Amino acid sequence: MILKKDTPPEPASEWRTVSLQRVPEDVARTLASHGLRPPSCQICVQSKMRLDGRFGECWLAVGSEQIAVVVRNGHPAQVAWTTPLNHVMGARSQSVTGGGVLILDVAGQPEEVLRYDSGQASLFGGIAGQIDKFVAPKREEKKKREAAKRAAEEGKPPEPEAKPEKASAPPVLNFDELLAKQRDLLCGECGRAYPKNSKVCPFCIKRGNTMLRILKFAGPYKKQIAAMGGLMIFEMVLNLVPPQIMRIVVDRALISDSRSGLMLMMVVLMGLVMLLRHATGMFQARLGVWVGSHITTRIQQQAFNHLQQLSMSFFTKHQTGALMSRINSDARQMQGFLTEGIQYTVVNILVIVGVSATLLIMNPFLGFLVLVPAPLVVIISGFVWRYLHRRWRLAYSSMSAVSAYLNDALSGARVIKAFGRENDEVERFERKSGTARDHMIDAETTWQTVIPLLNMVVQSSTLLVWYFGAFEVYGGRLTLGGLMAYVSYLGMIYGPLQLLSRLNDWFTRSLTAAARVFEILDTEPEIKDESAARPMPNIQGHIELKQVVFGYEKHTQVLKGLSLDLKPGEMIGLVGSSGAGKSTLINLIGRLYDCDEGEILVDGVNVKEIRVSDLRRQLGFVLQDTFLFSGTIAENIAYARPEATRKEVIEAAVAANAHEYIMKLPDGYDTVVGERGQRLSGGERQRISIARAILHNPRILILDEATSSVDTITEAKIQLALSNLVKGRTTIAIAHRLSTLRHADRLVVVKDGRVAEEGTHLELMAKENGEYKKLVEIQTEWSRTIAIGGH
Amino acid sequence: MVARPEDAEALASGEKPAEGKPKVKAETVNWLDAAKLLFLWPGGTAPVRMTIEGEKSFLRVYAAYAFPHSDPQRFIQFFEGKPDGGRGDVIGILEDSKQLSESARKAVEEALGRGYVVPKVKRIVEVRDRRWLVQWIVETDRGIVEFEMNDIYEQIQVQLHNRVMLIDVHGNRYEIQDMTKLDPESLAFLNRFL
Repeated sequence: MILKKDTPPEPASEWRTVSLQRVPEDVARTLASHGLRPPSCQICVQSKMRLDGRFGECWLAVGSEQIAVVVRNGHPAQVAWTTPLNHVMGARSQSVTGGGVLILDVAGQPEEVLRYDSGQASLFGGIAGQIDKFVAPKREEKKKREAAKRAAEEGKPPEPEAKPEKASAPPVLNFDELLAKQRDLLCGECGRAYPKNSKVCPFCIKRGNTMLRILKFAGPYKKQIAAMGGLMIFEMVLNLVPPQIMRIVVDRALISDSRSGLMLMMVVLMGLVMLLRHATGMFQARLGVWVGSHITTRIQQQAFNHLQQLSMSFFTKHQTGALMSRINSDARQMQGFLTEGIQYTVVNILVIVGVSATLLIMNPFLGFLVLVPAPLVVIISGFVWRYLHRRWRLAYSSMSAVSAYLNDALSGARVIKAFGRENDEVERFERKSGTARDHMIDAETTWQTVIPLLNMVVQSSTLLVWYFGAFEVYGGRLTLGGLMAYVSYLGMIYGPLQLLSRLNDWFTRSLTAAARVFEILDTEPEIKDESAARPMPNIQGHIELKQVVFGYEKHTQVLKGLSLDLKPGEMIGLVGSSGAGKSTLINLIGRLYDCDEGEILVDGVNVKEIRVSDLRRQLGFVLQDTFLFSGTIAENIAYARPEATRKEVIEAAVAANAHEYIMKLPDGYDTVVGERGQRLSGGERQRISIARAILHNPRILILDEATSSVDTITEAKIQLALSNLVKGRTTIAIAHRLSTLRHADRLVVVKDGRVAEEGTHLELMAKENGEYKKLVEIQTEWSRTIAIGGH
Repeated sequence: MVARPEDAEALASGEKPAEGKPKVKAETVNWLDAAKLLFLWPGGTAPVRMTIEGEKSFLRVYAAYAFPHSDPQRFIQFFEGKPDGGRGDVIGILEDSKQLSESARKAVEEALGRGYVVPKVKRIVEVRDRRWLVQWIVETDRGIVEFEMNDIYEQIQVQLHNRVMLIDVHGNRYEIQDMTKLDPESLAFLNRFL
């Protein structure tokens, strides 16, 4: 959504610091009458939705003493809701399909105070988070008072007050960081929000700048491109020669058999021109292929290189298919533009100018007849192309629907057969391919009908030239040869004229493709070495998490103030239900993401200050879904240490209990695995990944559900391999199957983004109503049920 | 994942689970009888209340479609409102909202509308092709709105039964329930991209 053009001027610069948009004068006045004015008003932002869910203009202002919502729907602003901040006991943002609601707990009652759309979820989620953090101590205080009151009523002695571990400063209401982050999401030029997951403002893309950036890719090949341009111009000049030869042949050589010598000369000359034209065309095409391939590769390499530097959050926000398309198709589109687009444009303009000048010089009257309808040709061609383009687009999209269906049906062949649905699938395919056929026929027949019609219209001026040209010949103002040459030139000018109408479309598509590629190149990696990043070549493995807060989407926190301390060489088991935050925790330790609040220390140093390469080199992951790259088993084991010797690879495989089965394969360690390689079972792949981790020899080891999807015997083998691996390393293991954590020094139960309890198995089992005890009992009960049921 | 007896046994050290142990329950569906349902919604932002006659009353309920696109009139699930304003436990599913009285239906629509902010497009007022992006002005059941698309191939999705979903650059969705029922001018705007 865009800002209305008639937005009134900003009333005072003071509002600029607390708002993302221009605060209208009447809104500012209304807020001020309720005591909300900067600096006491700390944030004032607009939602484009009213509380009843209809579109409208609502402003939320939060001050140090008051919160207010102001509506402004074509009428002067008025306060729709307000409350003193000290009445607020909690704040949260509730996601709904297509947007969200800001809910405040006012005197024990949840009140919906504002609605917003999807694009504003992170803003209002952040506001709710800040308010909630600010009022949290007050809420806790109130809870304690109520508990004490209840205890007094029931005649129980009051519970002794727990001593706070450390005196912490009272939270301060501060939206500066949130506002700064949100401003980063607005275009610096027009102030509009960037599209989702993008930093390219479609309103402010400048064609000139983008074009200059594209041209930079061609920099190293400018000599070859200049040569191509020269050859094109040479070919264009050569094209102008044959009609002149024809004119001489008709006017001079054919008039008498005594001119056979001249005739021979002309034929030889024409042969030479023909030879030169084809030779020029050949060199130009060969050069085009060379330059084009080099430019495409250069763009692809730069984009891929940059992608490798980007943080995990970039990959979770972008679909793999879309990124692949950017690297493949968009790079090709840019290459087409650089190698062909620019030169065709130049050459065609030269042809139009050169031929028009020749026509006017040869005969100004006929030249006028030809050139007057030229703009008309460009306009009509433009309409025709657009009309055809829509039909082709429809045809192509229905064809890609057929491809997508084929992909589905062939990948799912097993399911289709298992459920006996072959005939239904055949019917579905027939329907889809039938639609594609109809669209193709429609597009092709329209093309075959419209193009000859267009050509006929375009070429109709040839008839005029023949007719009026004849009078010029009768009048002796033009020779017969001159007329024939004239008609030949005429044929050369209409092609480029038709092409001119498509130039705009071509440029636009190329520049859009370029903008998408530049978006990758312009994305700053979220996780990178600070300028003062500390080298840590020998990590001991002491990990501390202090009040860590994190959410993949900033408005939805996954970890909500989690603290944990791991001694060097200790193995802890992370336990908890799905979605509790266990995998998120290890993602943060591995610095695949950075936490939003709090800190993670390794050997007493904040991970953000450790050189990323040092940290990652000393971290090892064994995950549930083992990814094997296309290559041999040996290459996959040595992935993190390509310089490892074959002996080290074998020793790692032996320690991972993988050697035996690898040696049973016909090609041993040279067996090719991955997408097109040998099929390995889950347990076999898992043991390769353990061998990989053993060879990597990390100080900190992370095991995420490493044995969850294998049978008992395989699990036993993997457990044995893991016990070799964890020795002497700080290890964090996640497992739903609690028995796999029996070797852990300590178990940590994560619940709702926080550590709920920690201790050894026996300590935790001794806790009445403990979270861990509940989990164990559920598993025990469930396994009994299975045992009795005989499954 | 299926737990194996030996795992849990090993963990529980052979002890029998204590009384009042947590149980894993199979999911069940509580089909609600429209004749027994009473709804109260005073209007505005007040919560929607619900009573199942002879059983229980709920001071705040939320509702969600089971089939928001293919059958929005039927199979509506109700949730109890939590004290903090969030969604709590499931109350049950109403098979057909047409069986309710008009005032009850209105309250249910309100409860649904609070959890489902996807404006329904009634008319396409204008479409401006601005080369880098397409600007739309549409009239919806929630008022007139202006939005932009920058990738029409991905942001116009034709679904089953002539339903079209328009998605703007920020991920907001606008639903055309049946494109064949649009007025000719709106359809002409849409057909530019189909």
